[in-house]
Amino acid sequence: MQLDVSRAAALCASLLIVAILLPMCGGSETARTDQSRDGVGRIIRMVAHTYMPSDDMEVSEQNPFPRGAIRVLAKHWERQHPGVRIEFVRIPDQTAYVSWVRTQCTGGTVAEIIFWWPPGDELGLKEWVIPLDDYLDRPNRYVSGNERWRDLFLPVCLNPPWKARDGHDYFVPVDVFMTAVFYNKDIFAEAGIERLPETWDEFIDVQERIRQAGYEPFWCPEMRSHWPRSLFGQLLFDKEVFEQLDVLETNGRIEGEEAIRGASLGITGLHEPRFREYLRLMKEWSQYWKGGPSLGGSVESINLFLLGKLAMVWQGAWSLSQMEADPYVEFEFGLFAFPPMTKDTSPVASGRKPLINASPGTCYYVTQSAARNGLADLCADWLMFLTTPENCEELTQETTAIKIPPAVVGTKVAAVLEPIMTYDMSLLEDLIIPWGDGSPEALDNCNRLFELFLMDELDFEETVSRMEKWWEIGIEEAIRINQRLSDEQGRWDMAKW
Amino acid sequence: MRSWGRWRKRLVEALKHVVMGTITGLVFYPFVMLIVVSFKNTDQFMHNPWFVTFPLHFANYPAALELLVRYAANSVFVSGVSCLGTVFLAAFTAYVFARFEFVGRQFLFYLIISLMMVPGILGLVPMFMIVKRLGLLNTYWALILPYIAGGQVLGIFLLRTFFSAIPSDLFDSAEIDGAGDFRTFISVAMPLCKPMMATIAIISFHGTWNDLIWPLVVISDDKLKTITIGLLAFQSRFQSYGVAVTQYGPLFAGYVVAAIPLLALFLCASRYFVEGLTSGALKA
Amino acid sequence: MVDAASSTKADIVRGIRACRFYVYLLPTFVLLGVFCFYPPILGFLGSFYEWNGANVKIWNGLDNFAKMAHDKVLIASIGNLIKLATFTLITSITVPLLAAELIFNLRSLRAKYWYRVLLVAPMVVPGMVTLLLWQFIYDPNVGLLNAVLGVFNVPAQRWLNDPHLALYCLMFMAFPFVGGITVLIYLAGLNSIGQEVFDAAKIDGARFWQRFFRIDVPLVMGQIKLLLILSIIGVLKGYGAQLILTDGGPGYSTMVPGLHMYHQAFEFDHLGYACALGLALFLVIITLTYLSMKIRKPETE
Repeated sequence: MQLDVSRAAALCASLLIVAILLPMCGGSETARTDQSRDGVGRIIRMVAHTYMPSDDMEVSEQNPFPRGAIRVLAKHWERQHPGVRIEFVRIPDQTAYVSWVRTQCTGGTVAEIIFWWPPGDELGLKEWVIPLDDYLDRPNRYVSGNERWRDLFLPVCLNPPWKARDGHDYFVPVDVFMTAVFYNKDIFAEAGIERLPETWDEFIDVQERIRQAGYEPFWCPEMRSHWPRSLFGQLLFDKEVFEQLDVLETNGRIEGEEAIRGASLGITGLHEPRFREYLRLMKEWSQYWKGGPSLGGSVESINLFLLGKLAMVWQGAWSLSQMEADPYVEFEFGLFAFPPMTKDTSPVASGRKPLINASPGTCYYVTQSAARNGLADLCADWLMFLTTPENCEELTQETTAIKIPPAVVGTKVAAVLEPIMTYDMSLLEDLIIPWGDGSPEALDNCNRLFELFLMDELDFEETVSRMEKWWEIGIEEAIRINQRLSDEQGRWDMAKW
Repeated sequence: MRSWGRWRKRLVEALKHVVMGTITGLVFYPFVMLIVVSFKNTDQFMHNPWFVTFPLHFANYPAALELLVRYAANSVFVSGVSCLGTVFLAAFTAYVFARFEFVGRQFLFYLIISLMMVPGILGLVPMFMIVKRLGLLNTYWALILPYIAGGQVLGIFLLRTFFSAIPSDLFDSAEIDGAGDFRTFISVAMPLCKPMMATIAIISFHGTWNDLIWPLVVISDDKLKTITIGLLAFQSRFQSYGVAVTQYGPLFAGYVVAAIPLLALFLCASRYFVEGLTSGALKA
Repeated sequence: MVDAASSTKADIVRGIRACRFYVYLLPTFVLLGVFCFYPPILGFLGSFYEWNGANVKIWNGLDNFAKMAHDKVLIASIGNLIKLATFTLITSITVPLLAAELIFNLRSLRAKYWYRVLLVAPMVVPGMVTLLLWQFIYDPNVGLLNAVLGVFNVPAQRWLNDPHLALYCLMFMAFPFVGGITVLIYLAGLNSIGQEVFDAAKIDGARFWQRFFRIDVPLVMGQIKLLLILSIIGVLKGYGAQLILTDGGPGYSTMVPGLHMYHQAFEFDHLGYACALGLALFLVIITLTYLSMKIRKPETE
């Protein structure tokens, strides 16, 4: 379990050692107290998370990917804003970050700009951070010709699915989280595959040919994550289903309530042909997974890919530079997106080209501290400065560090990232297949039953009937728990269903 | 014929050594692997996890030490105090149970023993609430007091058997000389049970040193964290942005560092420990 | 100090003197009361509630216990536990006894001492490391076990990922079954058997196995009972390896009641039900322990 905890926290991992940051002049302490007396603090404290500058820019084994770009950018910006300093805050440690932010926010001592996960409903609801809508609607003065700051970002970052529940935008994204298929070009060539697959059928066929060439085609996706459900959600579910679900708040995102409503009304459920197809297609695909279906307990798939033992691997795009930097990789590799599924494969296929798990990555929020100290405008200005295409390139494509897909349109990216940045980024709806959503227990049992099904331990009908039972239990539990809440706590008005 | 018999005996003797040597080797194997892996970098580990690879990466150790020393100091304090408290209190309680007759003796004793059978999870959440109500969260006491309380149970169970086996004349004569109960315990009983106390001390220290769940629950202040939590943070420390590849070399160096105090204690007390275990008192 | 001026006064004094034992036990019982008795008692009471560990605590009588009867996961986990416990109890009792016999029958005192030290020394390796190593051994792709089998042309197995093998893999993780202090406890038992007993056996011309079953086993019954009790408690409460390596999977193939309880408490927020499971587990453990305590030494008594 503890392994999982640390893995989940891995995003903020490299931040434990942090810098003595900007050259501090002798009178800094007095300066700060004076200013806070005036109510005009002139220091912007920032939790930079991914872009936290490293202590040491020397590349070494203990410090393989040092970062320093944000420090340089901050100096440029400070030169244009005399008397204002940006200070990068050392955060406690991974697991404690969430509770650290909560306590600091409650105590009113939180940094002016913090990292948080999108869409920041909790922070917004508690008024710990300020809405940025107004700023995003203004021009970014660092980009000539820009009319609205928000137009600079990839649509997938600042649109309905990632708006907070109250309809506000609370964050500024710097990079995007996305996944892709990494493939070993040498193995593809040896198997005689000249063209990347363009439909799901071709994708399966490619795997068959790789197997016949004597290689292992694919690796079991993280079965307990939402990855496979997200993939098939796009391969199988079209807009029509989405619109049937997204009705209580038509905002381009399926809320918990809408998912439960959908399941209890029978819009989603195992009697529905798409869910049955999900089971069938996954089983068909699973025969190409090295090691078979599993819930873990093995050395990470990326290792096998790096060792040239696996033809393809499904990974986050951020893994790229790490692979490039690996001295043991002795083959050429490339990237492609999962191809769409046609009606030939499944009568319920959506025909959509899936963009899997694309979401805002590193997001910065401006906190109440900034508003209280009259720094909100300056914070927004600093974030505008960071999100010009040029500066975003400095940040996300820093030479010594791991390259990350940027959130700003028109940012030049490293050659390795180019293939995935040409994807259609306009796709907004991202339907993750609902899966015993009602309770964690139902979800866990559905996962286990599905696993047994993939391993040929349970037949189709028994799997479906046992899973259906868990869906019912889950829905019943979700409703029971919710209906005990008061209206302010978010009790569902089931009359509207 | 005689010489054949002697040869046969030698052969059997050698065979015993072979079997025991193999078993000991297997038992020792994790220990060896721990050391071997601790000198590897990630690439070496991926390509050849089972054998020594060159160059040895000594740098794993300074990195581990730097990160873990302060956590280790906390653990030494917590485990040390808990261990002393456990041993002393368990010995005295066991002595009282073994030596004196009083109403409810059997009942109270079995009440304590029954605690060994309570599944840990049952009390975890209520225990947290109690510690919180007592205002002990984020203090050493939140660890030490429950450790002493919990560690005693096995200690009392084992030591009572030991004290029961000692002829009571020994204690009686001390009491005739005018020594009180407590004096008798200190001057007569304690010296006798030194090896057993060493055994319980090591078992107790070992248990608290490796405990992860409880410190994770009650300690959030970085200054008070114990080494097992330190190792957790350490696992994420050696991961690059978003890439879930655990770097086993530095991690295992961390485990070696974490095992050093335990090893030191073990070396100091191993004579008593082995003697205590082989004194014949451990039985039900 | 004892003043027997009148008999009532003497009685009172004797009474007070008898009370001192309870005073002696007071510190222990205060600590135990607060940290060891009170929490599980609260837990036991919690088993009559629908309780999420935080803001919801609603009395639901015996519902939690009724739920157990229909809990398919629990039933599967009990089946696994029976297999696991049987294997673990047998190996953890017999193998260390045989190893102890081997050491005991060595001639060289020096070798005896060193084997004893070497057998307990690896205790300093944290349990986590051992688990990780076994994970590498069983790894279906780069693991040691498949590599070794490959040499003999045995096809690669999926070990912990195979629902039919996973439970056995967990059983064999204790291999060679002699770790820790068990061997030493037996050795102690053998040492305390008087030399004259062995001499007598020798005169009778008893062979090794005869001696083993007629003399050694009955005379170390105390140790066997101790280890039996500790193993029962350990194996019934345990779930650490499952938690780290398999999470009870694949499917339900390595699920055990301890892990099921853990999931219910901390992953599914069903603390009340977890407490009910804990109470049931406690009753089973205490019954089995009681039964093992009742085992009598055969023949000798």
